[in-house]
Amino acid sequence: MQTASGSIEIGGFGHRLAAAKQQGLLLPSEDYLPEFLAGSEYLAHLHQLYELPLVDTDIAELFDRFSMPGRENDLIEDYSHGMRKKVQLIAAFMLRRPFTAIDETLNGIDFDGLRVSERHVRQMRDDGLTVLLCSHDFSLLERSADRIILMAAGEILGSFDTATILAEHGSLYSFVDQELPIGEPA
Amino acid sequence: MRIRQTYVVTKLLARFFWRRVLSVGILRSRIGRFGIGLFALLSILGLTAIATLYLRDMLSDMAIVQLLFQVASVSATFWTIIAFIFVKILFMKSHEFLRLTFQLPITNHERSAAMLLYEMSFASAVALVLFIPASLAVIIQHGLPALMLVLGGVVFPALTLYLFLALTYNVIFRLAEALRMVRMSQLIVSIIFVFAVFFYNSRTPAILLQMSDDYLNEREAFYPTAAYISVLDNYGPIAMMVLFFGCAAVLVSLALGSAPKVPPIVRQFVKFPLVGFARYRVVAFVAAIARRWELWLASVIAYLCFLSLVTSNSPAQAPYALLILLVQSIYAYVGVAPLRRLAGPRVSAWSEYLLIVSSQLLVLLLLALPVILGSQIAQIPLAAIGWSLLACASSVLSATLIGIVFPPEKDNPFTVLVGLGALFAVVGILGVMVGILSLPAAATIAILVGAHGVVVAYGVAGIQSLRRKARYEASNGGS
Repeated sequence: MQTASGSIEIGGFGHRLAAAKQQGLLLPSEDYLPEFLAGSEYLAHLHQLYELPLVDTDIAELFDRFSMPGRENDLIEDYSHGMRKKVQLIAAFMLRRPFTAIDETLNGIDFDGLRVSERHVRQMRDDGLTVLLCSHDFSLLERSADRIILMAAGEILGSFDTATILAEHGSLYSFVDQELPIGEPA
Repeated sequence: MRIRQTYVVTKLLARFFWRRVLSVGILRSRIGRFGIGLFALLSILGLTAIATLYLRDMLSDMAIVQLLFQVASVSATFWTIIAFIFVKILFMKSHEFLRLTFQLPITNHERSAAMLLYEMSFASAVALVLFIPASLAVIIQHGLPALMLVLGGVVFPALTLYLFLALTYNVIFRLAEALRMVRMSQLIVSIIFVFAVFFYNSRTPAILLQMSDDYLNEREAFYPTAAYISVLDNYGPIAMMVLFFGCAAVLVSLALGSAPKVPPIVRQFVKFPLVGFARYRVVAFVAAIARRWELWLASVIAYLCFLSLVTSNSPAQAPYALLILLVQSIYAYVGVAPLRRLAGPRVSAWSEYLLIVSSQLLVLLLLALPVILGSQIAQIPLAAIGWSLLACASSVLSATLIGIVFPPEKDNPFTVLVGLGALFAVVGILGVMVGILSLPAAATIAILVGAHGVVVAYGVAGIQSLRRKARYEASNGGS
């Protein structure tokens, strides 16, 4: 998408530059992964790209925590849709970049995976890392986000404090419903 | 089983593959399609005319016509096995479309029957088209009796064999399932059928020799491929028809009954361990190439060709069997697309090109080891082995370039044929150029090095161009 104005920087670098790419990680909404690699190999390859040391035991532990025990050495081709999403999330929680964008990746994963992910996202926030959750799941955002950036038709409508929204409107749904009313049919 | 639903799905399969074919190269344009159709029709008519005019004397003797169709049955058998493998690979590569058929309101038996019907029509058409000119020439000259020979010598053997192969395919698949090897089933099945082709091909000269020998010595003999002709000769056309329809009914029932209960999930990659992902970027590229199941199949074909050549009269050419592996290089660029996406702008076009080429060379070297060892045992000169390896390395560069310029589209093996055509043209032109010019060795080497330099430069320029295009599309919202 083309920027209407301004510029995007990650860690002081233009977002298209390789230096910015090293600071950030995008988990796309689709599960387009190298199917010819095993989950552990994919994670190792990512660590190589980000020039980070890899601890193999972390992979096994995270697969276990995400209810995929012993599957880290299977080819991604053999993973289900939910498992692929969880592997992407594991990558984000292992790499722990200063900026991580999670684009609807939490949609479609099982309840245990969702709870573990939320815990990791909160931990990353507590450690001073930025996580941008792009989601239509309001309850997830209420539980996890400090700030809500509301967008409609490609425009940012505003940035709001989540606690304030909940205090004033009771729920994110009520707030959005008020901010973006649906036009009545003529 | 509902006939109507089966027919509808057969039509859907035919439409899918027909449109896939029509979406390639000049077939996209109506004029192109008309031109190719007209060319095919004129070729068949021309060949029929030639066969009718020039073989008139020879075909006037019905005994020779009978021998001709006995020989044709051997050939039809060979081409039916080839067509069967081709169709199966086509289906394996169209697994995403087949997955869509699972959502249709049809039973597994109806889906299997539709696939069998479509596959059989397609493969028979491929096998039979080769015999149209000779068959027409004979029918024109002899009428109905010759039509029976065409049926008994070409049509019935091809259809019966296809059904038998379909049954064998299901049985092998069921065995793989029982042995918990479903993941590898398509590779196992393909390898078994490739072995069958090589075995049959090696037996063909002996069978043909035996047929001619028996004819010249006026001996009566039974040949499995010409079983229908034997029945026709001994018991008449009705007996032959009864035999064919009986065999077909039994084989269709068995093939449908043995079809897998759960439709097989086609896997594209072979699982085997690799190390060094966290240390070397090239390992992931090696995995992308070496784990493709088609490479494993190509390796088996290459090794069988090597064995066949090494035991022939010209063993020095045997190491060139490795060139068969290079067909897979056309997929090298598209195959690493997920890795490209992960790396983004971290990797320059030059680095990416080097990673793609070096990973292929590593895999090639590894797969070449048995051939090098076999060549040493067969006392093939080292120079011949070296030249064959150089030819392979050269083809890696050409095939990679073709894969960048004509990237194979997902699920469409026909686009690969376009790439292969271009690859053969490039390699052929280089070969003819070297042959025709007959320049001194130094000049030839300089030209070849220069030509490879151009191939590399165009490969990198192609990657840069595709990257610019991707950036432009991304910045314009994917339009």
